[in-house]
Amino acid sequence: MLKIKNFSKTYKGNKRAVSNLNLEIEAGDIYGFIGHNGAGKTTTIKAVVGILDFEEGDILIDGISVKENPLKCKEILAYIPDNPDLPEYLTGIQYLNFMADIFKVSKEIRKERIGKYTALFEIEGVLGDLISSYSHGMKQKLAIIGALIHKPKLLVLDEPFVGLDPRASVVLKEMMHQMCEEGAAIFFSTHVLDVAEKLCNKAAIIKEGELVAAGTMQELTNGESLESVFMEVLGYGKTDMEADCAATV
Amino acid sequence: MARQIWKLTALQLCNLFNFNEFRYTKDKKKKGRYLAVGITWMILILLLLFYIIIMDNAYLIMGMPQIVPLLGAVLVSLVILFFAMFKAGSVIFQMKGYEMLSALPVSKTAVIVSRFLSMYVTNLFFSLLVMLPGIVLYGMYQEPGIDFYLLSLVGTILLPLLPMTLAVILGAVITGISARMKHKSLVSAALSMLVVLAVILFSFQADSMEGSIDEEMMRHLSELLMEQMRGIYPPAVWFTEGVTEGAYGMFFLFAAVSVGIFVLMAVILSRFFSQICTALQSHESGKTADISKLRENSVRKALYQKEWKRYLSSSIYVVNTALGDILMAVFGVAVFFADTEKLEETLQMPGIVAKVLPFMLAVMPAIMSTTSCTISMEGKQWWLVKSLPVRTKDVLDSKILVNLTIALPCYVIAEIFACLAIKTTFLGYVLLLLVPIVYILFISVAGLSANLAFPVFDWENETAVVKQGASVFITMLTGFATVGIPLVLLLLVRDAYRELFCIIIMILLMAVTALLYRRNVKTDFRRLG
Repeated sequence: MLKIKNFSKTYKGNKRAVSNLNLEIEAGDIYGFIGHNGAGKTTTIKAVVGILDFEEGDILIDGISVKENPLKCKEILAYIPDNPDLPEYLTGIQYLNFMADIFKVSKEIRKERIGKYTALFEIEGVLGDLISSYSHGMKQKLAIIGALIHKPKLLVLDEPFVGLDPRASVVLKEMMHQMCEEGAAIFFSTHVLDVAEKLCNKAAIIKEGELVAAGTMQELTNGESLESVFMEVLGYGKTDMEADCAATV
Repeated sequence: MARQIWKLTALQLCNLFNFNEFRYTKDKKKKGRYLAVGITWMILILLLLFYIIIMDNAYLIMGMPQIVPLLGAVLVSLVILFFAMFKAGSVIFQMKGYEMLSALPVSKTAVIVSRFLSMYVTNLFFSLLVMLPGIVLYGMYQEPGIDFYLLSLVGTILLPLLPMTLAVILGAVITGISARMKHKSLVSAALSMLVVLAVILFSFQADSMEGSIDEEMMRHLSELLMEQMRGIYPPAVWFTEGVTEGAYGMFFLFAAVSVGIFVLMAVILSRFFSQICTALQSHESGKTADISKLRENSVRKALYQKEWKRYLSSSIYVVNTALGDILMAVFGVAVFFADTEKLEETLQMPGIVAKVLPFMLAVMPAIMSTTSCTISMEGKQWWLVKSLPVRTKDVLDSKILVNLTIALPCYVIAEIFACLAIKTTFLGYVLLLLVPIVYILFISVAGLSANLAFPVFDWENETAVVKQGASVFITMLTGFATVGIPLVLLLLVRDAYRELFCIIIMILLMAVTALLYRRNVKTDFRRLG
């Protein structure tokens, strides 16, 4: 469903954000993308969803190149950024209707999906309010519903659980599972290793723009916790860290 | 407290004119952009200085020295009143930054005073810019005593206080009234525009009084204007009499009123700040929506509707862009009621009104276009447009359509009255209809080109893009130049060739519009922001 081939991105001033990245996400995968701050996760995600240009490598979505045909790719994917800045001058329902119009979702289907998802995320009572009055979590929920309205084949999320209340997190995880059962793929970045470990069937760890580990969750952890593996591949000894923290405190 | 005020003001001022970002950004393109804006600002400041020096010099040569400080004071006060009114809501009563600061050990008064000070510093800069050349020239011609210089300087420093205070009160009243309306930004924009139109009509009235005086009265113009201003804005007269006649009492009155009203408002504000902010920004919540009433729209219509809602959501955006179109309509109506034949007789240029009218109508929409900052207005929501499966052409068309939605009704009104007002040839009527619409189309596309070249997404305040954006300046200058140059040339061209000249200009303009449009729609949004 998603194939990242030799992807590299260099920003102005020769700052190399991602180097020669190769990943493959298949239909049915919930793929976790893990790395420290500034590792290149968001850069990769933005290139995948067609909002950042790149010169080296290629990214294919369902066999279509994002570089050459971004519109076709965007029709079958959905993206939720880490901080969903939504049009604050629209009401919740206007935003969802706008998204449905853009993705050409029929009237009957949009009514059904909006009704179902807003009830699941418990925001049906504020759909008539302007988005500017929403809390961060409510905006996040609205962005998720807007992204799911056209039933994407590939869902790309950047830190999706930040700001969500516990119930909404559970709902989102359920939805992710359900989507994968129906043949979609999910690619998301996270700092919450416990979530990644429990939710994903596959994961990749990126460090300073380079892929340092990738595979099924079982292959990666091999009986250990994902946290231990993460610390190990990034070159941090857990006992050293604990000693450092204790000394600082 | 003083230290807190200083720190907070310095924090707000450090990024004045984006100076801090210019200083520390590593992005060379961004640095170049800020430099270009800086140079544009410098040019505009030099032009303003040049204009003020010429005007002041003329009044001094004509033997009307008192007019120099008087008109300077009036100009400073009017401009500050106009600009500060729109800033009041976003600078003084902004709750966002205040909530963050209230978590810190900072007093409420320090926050309010620092907000005022940051606004005051920019206004003071303008006050000095307008007043200093006049003070120097007055000194050279009149050779006054040292008290003139002292009082003038103190007066120049105090001058922004009163209009700023009035602007904040007006701005708060407008925000307060509109906050309770359904379409609050639209109501706010309408009220703001009413104030602006009132100021313009007021100054027209002052002009007409000037125009009706004969030579005999010309000698007493100074006194006449003083009397006129005493009725319109007495503090400017108190200031003038104080500095030019050494009337200390008058100057003291000016200083006391300026400082007194300012302090009074600061005290009231610091006492009721939170309540005022809450009252101003009140909104209802908990509204459900009827999903069964949802309607399906085409992609283009959906984009246009979103764009239109975005436009109406910002009163600053509406006022600063729709004013040109509204003035076009007002001008068209004014021409209908004006005695154009008498004007042509006075100017000894028969038929001149019909010749220049198409360009005169075009100049106002040509300098203010919604498209000149429409990309920047996306701000932090730009990711959404980039991530949607929509063509660049559709997005840009929706933005152009918004400008046309505002401009076309005003164009129709202006044209109906303008066509009824003048008598001209068939080709003359065709040009009267054609010229403004070509300019409206041109500036809609050229404004977009400017904004695509100079987009700014990381702003905190809409004023930064609507009023201070490089693309807005560039569009404004482009509008001025593309109307102004042909207009001047038109007056130089022989009568027989004037219509042909207009047609050539229109063809050129349409060709440039088409080229810019083609270039715009090829923009890859991935490279933007």
